[in-house]
Amino acid sequence: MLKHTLQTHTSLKWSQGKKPKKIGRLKQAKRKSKAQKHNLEQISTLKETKRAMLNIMEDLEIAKNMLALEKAKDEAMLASIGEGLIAVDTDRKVIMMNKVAECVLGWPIKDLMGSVLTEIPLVDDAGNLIPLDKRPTTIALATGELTKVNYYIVKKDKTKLPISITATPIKLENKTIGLIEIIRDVSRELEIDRAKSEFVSLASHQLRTPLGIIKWYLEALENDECYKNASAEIRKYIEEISTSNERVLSLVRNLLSVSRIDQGNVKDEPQSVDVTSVVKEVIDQMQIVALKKHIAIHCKFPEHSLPTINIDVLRFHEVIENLINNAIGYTAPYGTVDVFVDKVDTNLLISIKDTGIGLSNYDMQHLFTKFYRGEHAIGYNPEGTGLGLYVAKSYVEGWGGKILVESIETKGATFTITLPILKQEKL
Amino acid sequence: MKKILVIEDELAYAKLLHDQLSNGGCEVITAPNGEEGLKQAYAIKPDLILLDIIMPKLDGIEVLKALRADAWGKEVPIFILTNVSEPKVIVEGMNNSATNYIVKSDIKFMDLLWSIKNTLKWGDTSEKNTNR
Repeated sequence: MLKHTLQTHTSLKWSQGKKPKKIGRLKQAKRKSKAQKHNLEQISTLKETKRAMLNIMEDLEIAKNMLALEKAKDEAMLASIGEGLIAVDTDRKVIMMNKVAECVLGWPIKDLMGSVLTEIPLVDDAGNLIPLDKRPTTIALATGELTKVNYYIVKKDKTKLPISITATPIKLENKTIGLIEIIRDVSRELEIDRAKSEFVSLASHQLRTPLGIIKWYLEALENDECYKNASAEIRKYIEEISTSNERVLSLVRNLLSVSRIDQGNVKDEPQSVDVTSVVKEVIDQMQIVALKKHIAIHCKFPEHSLPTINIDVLRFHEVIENLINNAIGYTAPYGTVDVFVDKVDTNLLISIKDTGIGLSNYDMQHLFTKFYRGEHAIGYNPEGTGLGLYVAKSYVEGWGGKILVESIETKGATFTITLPILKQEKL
Repeated sequence: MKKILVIEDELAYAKLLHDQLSNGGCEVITAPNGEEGLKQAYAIKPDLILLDIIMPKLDGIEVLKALRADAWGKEVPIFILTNVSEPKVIVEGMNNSATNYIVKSDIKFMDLLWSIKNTLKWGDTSEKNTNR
């Protein structure tokens, strides 16, 4: 090695155009030990590097094992989730699904992985195919919002299964990068619903029979000659019985309506409706009641005629009647009801404002649910069924519209309905 | 005298209809089920039939169909008088040529009476006698 060093030194000097100096023996020895030291250092560095690499490899091994464990845990969690889970990317391709999804969908995982999810047919209960743009996958990816629907999936063996699908977008830095869809077999729920509705239908028919009998017999009594000569007290008693009977009949009727709405049995008969004229009609009808209570109904209608919309006229009439009835009913004598109809952007707006008992925040949150009656409302008008607004909301939302309420307790309430003019949803 | 056939299984309804319509000056015959009702219809050939739907032996819709298939039955006015307000059933009734579909618990008796009088061209229908 030393020779090599010397030779290198020599040739280096010659290449530099210098005559190599003669290197003394001491210098030679010094150079030798320096080189040896250098080599030792290099060896030591190599050894260190090797040790470090071994450590890194160990760490990597540990990390790899941890990852494998995490992955196994995730897979175990996924497999144990009692609901079907499918993850899709922005091209609607299935990137992951669990065993439950396989069972519910009736399509094996191997068939679906990497395939476009929306190729599996979905139908409604009439058997109509749900088009691509109405699929929850498409809607959730497009809107970036949670989408929940109920449809029937057509399994690989061609049978249909009712399922509920909740599609939740996965967001990374505010951009949708995929979806998680949770699917659930709802056949049992549907059966229970059906049994409930059948029961309500049967019960309401069974209830109406004796109630109807009471109604007519009371009428016969009232029309009887003897009744005309009866004491005021007797007549009052008969009147009370009659009124109570009508209340129960009304409740049964409402229960039936609600049950039909729940069942989705409401077959709207859409026709071209001039909203302003229906509202005017209802106000005319309600004038007598309003006058009795000395309540003034003020109307503000647009001068130009508004575009007609395609909705069920009887149901719309029912909704407006309901709201104006409430407005009059919950307002003390000498109060006012303001009715306003107009077009705002692409919607028709109908608002009914009263100076009545108003609603608390709690009331407003629960108002449109079945049977809800505010505390003050019950005190003011014990006869309400708590169903009118539930029915109204169902109808309005079925027409693609919204119903909102604003109120200050004891000062009054304003109910506003908006109905879209273009693109009517058919029921 | 006008003849009215009441096909109704609920005794209380049958009795009331019988009494009120008889008092009004009609001959009222009642039948407690669909089978009996059909028999009576062909036997006495009434001027009007009041027909319930939910009945034992033969329900109202079947009676209606049978009557409308008959040469005489095709013409007789038939009021369906029921407490079923299921839209499907109403449509079925009207599709099978019922003259009227009346939900008992939704109508005042006097209004029913007016309808009957009007159809039979019987008695004073010049002013609708509604007790409001």
